[in-house]
Amino acid sequence: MGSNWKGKSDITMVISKQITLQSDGHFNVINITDIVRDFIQSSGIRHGQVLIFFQHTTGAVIIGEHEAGIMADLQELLERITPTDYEYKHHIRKVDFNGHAHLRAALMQTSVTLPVIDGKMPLGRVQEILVIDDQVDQAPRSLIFQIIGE
Amino acid sequence: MTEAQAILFWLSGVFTPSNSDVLFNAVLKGDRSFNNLSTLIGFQELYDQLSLGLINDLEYCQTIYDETHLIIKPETITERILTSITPNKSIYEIINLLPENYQLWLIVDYPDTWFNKISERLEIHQSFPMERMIVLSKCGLSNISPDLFEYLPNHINLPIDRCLLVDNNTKRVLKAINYGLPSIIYVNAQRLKREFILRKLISKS
Repeated sequence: MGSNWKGKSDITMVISKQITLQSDGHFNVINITDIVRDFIQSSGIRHGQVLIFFQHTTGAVIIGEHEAGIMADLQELLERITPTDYEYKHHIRKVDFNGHAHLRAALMQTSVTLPVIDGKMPLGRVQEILVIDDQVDQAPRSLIFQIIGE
Repeated sequence: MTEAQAILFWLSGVFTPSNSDVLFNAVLKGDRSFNNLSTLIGFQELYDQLSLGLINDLEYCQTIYDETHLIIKPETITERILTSITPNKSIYEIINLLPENYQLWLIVDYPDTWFNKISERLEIHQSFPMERMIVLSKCGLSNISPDLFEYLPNHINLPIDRCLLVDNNTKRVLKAINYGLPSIIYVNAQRLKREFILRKLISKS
């Protein structure tokens, strides 16, 4: 059993927005669920899809539960398979030393797409949109939100 | 899971906006340029020093003034910060749902000079008497992690696994959990209520 939503319209809108987050990296988890909700609401689009894209190669966007134990477990898992302190080949050129962050980003995802139904994201009870920034220095991090629909 | 006997709430980020949001709103009011944002990110460490009493509020504001190159005098930064510290009233509704058998503690990370000016506005004393406040600047610690996580259970005289920290700073929470201090990441009051229900600290009804 499920719900069906049907609609037909000649007017499809696309709205994009770039946002900047303050982050000091090192597995910094930033909950952006409310920021995305505000974006959807301000777009006026009722039905469609919203894309959240992280514009860096050293972090990820995930849908998950922002629960302390899960975050600690995820950090531990990533540390096990991509240790921070390791001689990555990325370091050979001696430009930057964040091999672990690049690998973690590759293992996760830099964008998520969510349905928009009746002006809302139908997130599950404990689902939240989280940015995980694993860069090794302090810098602003950029994201693009793009909503398409009617 | 061992049942919590004491719940320790971090002040900034739970009862008020986080210290980074406060600083962002106070200092960048009308001046949200990219470079300034970049500079502000580095101030968490400075804020920790302020919280622990290693520097005073004047030194904190003077450093921000020196490093941001904004045309805002340190005294104006202080005024703006104090104005930006507004109460999160929805948290009190959740606290009132907790049965009386839990010890409620407040970790005060604002310097005394600020806290004295804002505590009345925050109505914090209604939920936390003075003896249930842990004022970081008076604890004599040199680091938040791990010093504070060692200090807290000793101060309240309970095993660490009988304590529960509520804090909006995910990185600090991860350090606390890895140290053995059970913790909740504060996102908003509704989410905290759900977490308290899941942990059977309050009933569902």
